[in-house]
Amino acid sequence: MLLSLFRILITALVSFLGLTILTFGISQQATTPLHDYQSTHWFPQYFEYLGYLLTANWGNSDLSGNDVFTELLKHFPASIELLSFSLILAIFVGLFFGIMAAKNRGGWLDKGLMSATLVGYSMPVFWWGLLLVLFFSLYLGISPVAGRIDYAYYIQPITRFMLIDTLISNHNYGSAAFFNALNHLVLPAVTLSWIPMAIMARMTRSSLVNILKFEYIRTARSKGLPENRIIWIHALRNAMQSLLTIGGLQISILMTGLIIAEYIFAWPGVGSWLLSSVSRQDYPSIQAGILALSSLVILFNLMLEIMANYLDPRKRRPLS
Amino acid sequence: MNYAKVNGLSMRLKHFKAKPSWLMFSKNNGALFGSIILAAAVLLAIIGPWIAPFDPAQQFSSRSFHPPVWNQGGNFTHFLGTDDLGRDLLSRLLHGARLSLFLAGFIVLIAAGTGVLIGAIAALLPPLLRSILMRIMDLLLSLPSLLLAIAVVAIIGPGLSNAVYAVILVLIPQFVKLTQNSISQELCKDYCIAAKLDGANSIRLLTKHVGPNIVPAVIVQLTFSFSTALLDIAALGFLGLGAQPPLAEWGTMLAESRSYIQYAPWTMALPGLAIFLTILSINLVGDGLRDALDPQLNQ
Amino acid sequence: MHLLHIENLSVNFKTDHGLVTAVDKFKFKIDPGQVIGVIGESGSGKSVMALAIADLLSPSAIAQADLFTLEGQDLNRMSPFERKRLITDNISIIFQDPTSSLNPALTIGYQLDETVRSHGGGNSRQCRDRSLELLASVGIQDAKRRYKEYPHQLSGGLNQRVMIAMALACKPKLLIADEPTTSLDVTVQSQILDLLMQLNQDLNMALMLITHDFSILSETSEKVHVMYSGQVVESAKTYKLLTEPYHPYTKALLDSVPHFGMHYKKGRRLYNLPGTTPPMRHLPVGCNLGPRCPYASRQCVEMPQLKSLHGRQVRCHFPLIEEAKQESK
Repeated sequence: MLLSLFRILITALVSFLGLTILTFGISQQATTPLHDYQSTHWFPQYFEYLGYLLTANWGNSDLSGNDVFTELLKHFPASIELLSFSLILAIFVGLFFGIMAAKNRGGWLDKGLMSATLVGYSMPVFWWGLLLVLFFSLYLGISPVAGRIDYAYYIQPITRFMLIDTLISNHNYGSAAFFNALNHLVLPAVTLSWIPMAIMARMTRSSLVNILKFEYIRTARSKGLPENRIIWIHALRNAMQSLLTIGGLQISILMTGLIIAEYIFAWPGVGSWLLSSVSRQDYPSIQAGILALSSLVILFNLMLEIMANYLDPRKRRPLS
Repeated sequence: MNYAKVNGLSMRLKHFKAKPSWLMFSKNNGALFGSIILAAAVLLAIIGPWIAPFDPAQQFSSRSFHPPVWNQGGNFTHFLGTDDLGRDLLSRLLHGARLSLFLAGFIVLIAAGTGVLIGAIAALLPPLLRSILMRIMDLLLSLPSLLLAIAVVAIIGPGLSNAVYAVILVLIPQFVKLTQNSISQELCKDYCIAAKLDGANSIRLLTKHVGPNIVPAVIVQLTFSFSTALLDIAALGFLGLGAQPPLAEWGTMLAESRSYIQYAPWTMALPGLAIFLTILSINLVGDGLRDALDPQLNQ
Repeated sequence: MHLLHIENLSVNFKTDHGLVTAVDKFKFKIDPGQVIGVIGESGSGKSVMALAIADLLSPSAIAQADLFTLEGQDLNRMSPFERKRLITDNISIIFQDPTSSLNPALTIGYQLDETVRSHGGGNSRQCRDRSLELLASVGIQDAKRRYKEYPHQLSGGLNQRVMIAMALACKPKLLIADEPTTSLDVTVQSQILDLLMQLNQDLNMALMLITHDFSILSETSEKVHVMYSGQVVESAKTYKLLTEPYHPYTKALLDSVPHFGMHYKKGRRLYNLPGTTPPMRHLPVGCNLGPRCPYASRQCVEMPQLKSLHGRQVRCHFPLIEEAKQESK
């Protein structure tokens, strides 16, 4: 178990190093050099660059001259908040619908859900976001169009996670501020979790249907266990492993959605910051944004692999 | 008729025949529906510019935000209405179809050609070099394609042609990985060992023996990459990093319509619907092809 | 009163080609403590029959029986829920491949505990004790260690013992063993068979032994049903069937078994039946064995019925004894 854990960590580290080569390339485009490199050749410079990265010295913006790392930290919590909310939405709703479909496989519920998910995963995120805005914000008027909270509220940033700040910071809006922030979060989260949710539901269904044909499921039935126990414990425990391996794909799709949703809903996160930096050709900021978002993907994949490793007893080494 | 002859007796067997894969494909309702829509889209992309009633860039300044025919005040001159500058939406959509589908096709062909070639070469490389190459491909694959495309556009600058290069670069690793994986799987099989014992060299082994067996997987990947290419080009256009405004490209049209979605919802709904239907049809065809050509991929 | 009494059990599958019959009018009786064998090639419908009795068929299958009683209670008159309850309380089943029949993601102990609990095993402490007791009763030595292990850490033979222990958790009156030794090594096969026979005696548990191997049945079962493409072609006392087969298929099966020791004859060729088992969706017209049968004639284009002959049953127009032939004419 330790050995495979070690291998997973090494793979993630190699990915991260590969990523830094890419961002080093981007940082070379900056008009003024990011750092005061000692050497003149790019190869030793790269190692100096790595050292700067590790000491949180990510250079200064070409335009504003601000430290890129502090800028990044300002935007990061907003992205994490949206991302984690969407991820939870996608996983749980997707799992739930997938299990429902698998339980009624061949029935009308299954067919209906699967057609819906087919439509779901073909939906371009940017159009879906605009449709949601049109319907919920402009037609029904129940959801705000942009931002994290109404301008009427001033919340002292403490953690920069708006949901948490509205709860812990000193203000006299009461719970209204929290619900206002939550209301701002829902539409972007639905926009970007839609496709992963559809894929999750399809994958859950197909792996469950596949597993329900296995012999150990027949054994569980022969023992007279209730159908719910068979699905939730016997089948899902094994489906989890295949679901975790496709989880990496999910985070990729979620990240694409994040950039687009932040752009549509003017969400002040890393994605919209990255896009505005690209249009301003502010290379130090581009470098930081790409490094941050990609590291998040790598980190997430690492977590998935560790979980898969833990869940599959065949991958674990026997203790004795 | 099938007769079994034993001891001078002939007994008729009830006839049974395995279904060929094209029949399996055509029996799949979703795939059939998808291929009809896709065929229509391709047809419109080809003949679109000739049947388009107006020039896509022609501005009828007196007729901006002319509603489509089914809305109040719409008429058949501008069947799908006009946008903020009074340009005919139907003409723009038809030109956009050609642009989007042709570009996506071009991107996928270049990416597939390059990717399959690199993958085949990788299969012949010594193990150490191959694993280094594959690690790089794994890294590129693990990153979101749009993020990677943004990174490339950031380096070479925005614009349609740069977006095309970016998407090509992003799609190549998929084909490299697929080709290399399938080739190394096939090389372990008995027929390849037999061919090697027969004295086939590695080039002959790849082209004559392994090649035909990885074609189905590559075709399935082609359809899915086609939809990724279409979507990424549109997304880059939408984010202002791809095709630039006067050009009639679906994603760019969506971006332009953003400010008017309440006032003229059709300018947003129609380009999006075009993208959605095309992606849906490609996905349906891809699923059908996968089920028909390669049942193992389905698992 | 029989423990289990089935008359004319038929199982049909809904497929793209219409209904396909997998089991055709199967008749079966078993008394407490009895051992009855069912033999047939793969695809003869014997496993489907076993699954039908244990109420484990997939939803695409339709099973019907004219009579289906368990301990004198008519299962045909019960709701599906009651039927399931009665069957799981009285019948247990073990399968061919023990390693894939156990859930790879759960420990042996967990899988045993939940079985014990679902049959009223009390609190978790009591369940654990009962599980360990069961593991010991099927001859697993270091039960405490195995309890914590996963199926992939155990050998095939041990896994089959675990399956048997799990089957015993509900104190079954009937154990259906569907090819219980096919995937095991020869030495382990006899251990498992010995265990099954011992449990049959100690617990007075009836045993239905499904196999394709005559050598397993010859020493264990009282009676044997021979199945061919979904039908019983011959059923008789084991001894009679082995020494004097009436049906050409039974004879072919017996002739294809190699002989050792005192029965060994140098130069004797093993018999093999021409052709292969026909797929269920295109059976020949008339007798299912027809095209492969060395004794077939014109009359065989009509389906023969199961007839009683000398205290056994055989489905053939031309049973392989002179007296029987004369009687049927």
